[in-house]
Amino acid sequence: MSDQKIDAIIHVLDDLLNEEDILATMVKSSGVPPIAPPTTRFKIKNFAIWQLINSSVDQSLGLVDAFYNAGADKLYLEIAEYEIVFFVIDRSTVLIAVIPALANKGLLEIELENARRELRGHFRR
Amino acid sequence: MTHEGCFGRGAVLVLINDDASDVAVGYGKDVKRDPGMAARHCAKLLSLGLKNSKRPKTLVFEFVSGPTVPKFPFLTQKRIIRNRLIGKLFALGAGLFLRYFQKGVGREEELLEELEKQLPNSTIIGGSTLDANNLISNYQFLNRQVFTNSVVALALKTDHMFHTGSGFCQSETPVKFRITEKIGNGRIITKLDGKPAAQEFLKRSGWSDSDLNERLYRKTFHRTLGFKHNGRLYPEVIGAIYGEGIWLGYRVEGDELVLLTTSGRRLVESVNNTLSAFSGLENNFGFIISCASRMETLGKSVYLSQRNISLFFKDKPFLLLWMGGEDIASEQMPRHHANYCFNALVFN
Repeated sequence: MSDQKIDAIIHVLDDLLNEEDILATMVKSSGVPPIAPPTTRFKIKNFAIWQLINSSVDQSLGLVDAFYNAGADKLYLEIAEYEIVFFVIDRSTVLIAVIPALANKGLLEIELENARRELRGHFRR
Repeated sequence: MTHEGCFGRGAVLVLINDDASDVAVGYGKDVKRDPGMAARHCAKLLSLGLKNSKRPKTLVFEFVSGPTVPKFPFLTQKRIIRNRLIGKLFALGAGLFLRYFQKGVGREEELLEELEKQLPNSTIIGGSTLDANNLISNYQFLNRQVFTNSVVALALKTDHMFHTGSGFCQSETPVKFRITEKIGNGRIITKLDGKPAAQEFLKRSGWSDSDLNERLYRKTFHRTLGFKHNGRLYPEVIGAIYGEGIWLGYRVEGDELVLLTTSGRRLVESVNNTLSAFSGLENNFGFIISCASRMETLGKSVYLSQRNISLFFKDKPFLLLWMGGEDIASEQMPRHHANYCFNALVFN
């Protein structure tokens, strides 16, 4: 993947972090390192959760792959005071965001959907 | 929401070049303290601005400060506090907070009533401004001015034809409650069927205490309360539960509440049903006010509605705003301020 494309993806993720309730975000494709804005931009207080996501994200890709042909679209995982949202970009790529468990998810979903559409454009190019 | 997509932040701009309308703007301040006075001031500015216009129809777009969750000293802004003593204190303090700090319910129904009285034979469409559905603060903009706790409006005297429509997605269940005690000008329900209101609502809705949390709007969307008035159903957003008091979005008329139910599918269908009233007409521009709770409930699936609305308007523009309360008053639609609604105005 070219540096230009990575920069464009980071730009989309960084813009998502302007949402008060998007605490951390990344894009992960199987077989390649995650793409994420600098962690200094993250608002997540329990960083151990983020490290846990980082270390286990390949397993979520396995789940997406298993259900992809059935129309897998998004996954929610509630952990303590956080929710981890996985928006499927394609069979081997997910957009991941960490939000507070009690956030207004509807509004955030719209922003995540807009980001997903933009990211799909970058991955297809 | 526009043809271009759905947006939870940023700005959407509509530019209209029109030789068949005259335009005026107005505002009224301190809506939460005195909605009647704010409506009269706003209506006066609109009437003055249009006094020389000879065009036959009057159309008013109004945007009013919506409800805000009061912040009480030493307590965070919360929607659910089950402590009965705190609940009673909140209920007692609500009027004072509204009057002196202008925090609390929006009193939009009172404003709309007065606005209609001041601007007879007008079509009015609008709603309650809000933030990211947190009900912490909201702002109103007019030319270069920024307001809080105010109403801003744009009025047109126009030669254009337009029609209005309104829909919601809730339906009545057999569960009915008799209100035996309400305070705060009919907006805080403290007793239902002679029992503490919150407890009775939870019990007869089939919910436990633990089902309710700060995600109140999202949770109660599928099972909320409403009332019937003049043959129309008025769905209410449950704004907060403090102690045994259920704080509703606007004043309840009468003494009966009914438990309402809905589903995501019906929510999408209600949009199609409302728009079907305009089919067969040449629709040139659509202006739609939709309850933010509908968006909050659908989440990214709001794009299903966007696709349907976009297909309906084809190459003609439309603008849908998500608001905290929906107002409409027209020849076709008697005055109505409610929640969970989908109100549309279409220029033909």
